[in-house]
Amino acid sequence: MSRTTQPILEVDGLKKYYETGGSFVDSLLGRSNTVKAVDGVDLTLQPGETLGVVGESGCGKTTLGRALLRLIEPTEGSVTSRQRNDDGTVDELDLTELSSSRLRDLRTDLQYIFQDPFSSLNPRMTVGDIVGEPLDIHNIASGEERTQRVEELLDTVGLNRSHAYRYPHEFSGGQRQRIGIARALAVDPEVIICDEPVSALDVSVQAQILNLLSNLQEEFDLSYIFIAHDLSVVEHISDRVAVMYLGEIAEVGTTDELFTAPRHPYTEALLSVIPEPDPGWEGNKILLDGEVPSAINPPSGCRFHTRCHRVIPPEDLSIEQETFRSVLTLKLYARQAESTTELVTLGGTGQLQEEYDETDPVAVDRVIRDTYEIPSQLPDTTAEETVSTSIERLVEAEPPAAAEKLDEVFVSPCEKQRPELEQTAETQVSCLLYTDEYNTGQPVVTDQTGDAAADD
Amino acid sequence: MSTKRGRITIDGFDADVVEQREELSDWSEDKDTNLESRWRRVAREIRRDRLALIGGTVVFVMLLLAIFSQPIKAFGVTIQPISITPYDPGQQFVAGTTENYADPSFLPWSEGSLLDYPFGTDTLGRDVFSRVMAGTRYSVTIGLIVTAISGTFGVIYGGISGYFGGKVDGVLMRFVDMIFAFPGLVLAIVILALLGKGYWPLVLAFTATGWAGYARLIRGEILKVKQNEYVLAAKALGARDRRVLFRHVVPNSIAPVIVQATLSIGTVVIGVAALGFLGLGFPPGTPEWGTMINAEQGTVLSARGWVRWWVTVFPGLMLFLFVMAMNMIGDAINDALDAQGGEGIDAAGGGG
Ligand code: SF4
Repeated sequence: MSRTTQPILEVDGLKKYYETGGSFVDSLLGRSNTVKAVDGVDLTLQPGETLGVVGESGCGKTTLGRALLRLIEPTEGSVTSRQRNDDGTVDELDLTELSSSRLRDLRTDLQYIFQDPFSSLNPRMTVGDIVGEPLDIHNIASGEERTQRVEELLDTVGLNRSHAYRYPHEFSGGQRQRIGIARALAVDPEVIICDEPVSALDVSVQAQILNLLSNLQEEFDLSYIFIAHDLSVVEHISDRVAVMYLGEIAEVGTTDELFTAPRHPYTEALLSVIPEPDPGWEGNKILLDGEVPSAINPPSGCRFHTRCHRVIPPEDLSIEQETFRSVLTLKLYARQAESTTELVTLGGTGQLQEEYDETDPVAVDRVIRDTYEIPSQLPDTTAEETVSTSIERLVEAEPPAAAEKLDEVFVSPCEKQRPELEQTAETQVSCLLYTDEYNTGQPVVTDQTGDAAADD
Repeated sequence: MSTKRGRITIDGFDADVVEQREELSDWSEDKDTNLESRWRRVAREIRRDRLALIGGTVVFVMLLLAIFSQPIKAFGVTIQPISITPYDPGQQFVAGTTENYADPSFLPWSEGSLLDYPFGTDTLGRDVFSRVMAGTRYSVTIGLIVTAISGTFGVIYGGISGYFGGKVDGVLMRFVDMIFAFPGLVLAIVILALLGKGYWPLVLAFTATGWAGYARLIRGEILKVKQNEYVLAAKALGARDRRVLFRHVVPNSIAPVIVQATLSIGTVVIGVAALGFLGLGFPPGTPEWGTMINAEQGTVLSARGWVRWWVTVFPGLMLFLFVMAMNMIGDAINDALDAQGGEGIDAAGGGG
């Protein structure tokens, strides 16, 4: 993919914040919270390209897709759309600045395919009216011509012409998704944002829809932004992939680069859990701890530091990275836990803990170290001291007090410093490991394929 | 053992087999009988409901009466010449004289047959049968007109409120709350006191109080419906708000309003009759059912008043019949709409 043309769509610093607890009284009392659903996203989309956007649910990918088209108003940032005119000139429009009537016109160039084929079609309209609606709205065709165009569109997406007179509920999920695609195609768009178009469908149907989408791309020279929650779906149809985590882009790169040499620890973890049909394969699955943190008050510094398996230990501490991760997890959980029992449950692997005496420092020490997999004796003296004092505090006081103690020593740079999206040899990565300060010179993450030579 | 991916690939993704195997759906042309629209299906359901049929017949007959009981004149030109009432509803002393009626035990049938005055005559010797027939023109039409106007207005008002939400919603709904803060009938009485008695003042009085209920009802429904992705889809296509609201949102939230409207036609009719009974609705002498009962209060309460029981029973009975019929229709509509509440989702199932 070495296109040197100008991107057809350019997203710059796009943000979408929501206020929660939005009642008038709440905001008077300053009780409302800001949800940072999308927090400064930069992306480009080249003509004819498919850009996959991947992330766990709640990472803001759908919000991103909708804010892109101003289906919801973005809080900040710009979205530049470039349209080639027939005479070769290029129109450059910032979507976020457009008046609503200009925006309506532009909807003929930018379209959206929805995730849920059941709720995205009006149950009270016939398929013909659903597909024909964009034609009415933009006065593209009417009467006989409209009927013909609708039938053509149904043909294009692999439906029967006679389907025009039926209602959506008479169709299966896959067919409904085809109707949704036909509707998006009706205005002859340049860019289509596909918001998890197959995740609501049966696996066997998913492939059909994906095939359809890629055929249409060829036929109509479309550019896609393809949102998905798992990497395996976008692998086949994307030219480039962007991995999102909590409203930010963690890594962007061509599909090849990203799949063979993921740089961001999050991408690495996502990739490692893609099932492999090879029974002889024994790749390491990296299971991330916990869930995606809430986008209300997202974690400081690098947003991934609460779960990152490569989180950077502070320089002055001679401690294994793995052990550091364990202590850091203990610290993060201790901040929110209300009792030692809760702390044990949060960190536990799910199996039942043996009974222990909560007032006995020795027992608590053992249980905590067991659940968080912290060695009973840390090599570094300051580290060891801090951990044991903080566990003692658990007995005397609440877990947050223990967290405070740990905060004196166990602070990762990842908690304090927010990484920027930076170009590495391959992908663009937002991780401190790849900044000059922490870069050890070698790619931290080795290639999935094992042929590290390619990296040099 | 290896950590290398891709040693075995399963080529299902772009295999032609997958594409060819595609089954577009499980219906075939012969299952193609079910093309009727939702409202036609509702209509069929209702026609199967016996009670609704009875109710429908009653209402239909009453509507015919409203049209044909008396000639209709507009701007001095008679546009409906038929008059099927045996007497003019205002004609006094159709049987007997003033002196006869001074005697409380006088029966109008003393000279003719029972069929001459099937519902008897009132204190002023007017034929009750003619009057209750003519009364349909007041009660029934007011019920329909008030419901149509307040329903339409309420749907637009509540639609705008619910659809735009936020501050617009806040302001518009506070106004609805204000309307609700008045007891409906009292507000109607105030309006009548300001405008005077009569048909159109009554329509206005009941519309002014009635629309708020529809507004609130549809707003709640719209808050749910507008979450649907097809609303966003319409916006993504570039549809204007008016189109989104009236083509996508309202049609999907209108069902409870229609049920509510059918049921409330009866309520309005009762309200009109209540005001009539209080002497507030129509000028005395108007053959509106409530007003008729009001005019005969004295008769019924006087000594041996029970002898002329028919003067109040028949207007009351008409009222009862109409409201009952309307409620039976309303219930049937409710059931019919309910029966297809899940339409769309469960009919299709997932995937496929
Ligand atoms: S910055 Fe730190 S926490 Fe964030 S991904 Fe990189 S190593 Fe992990």
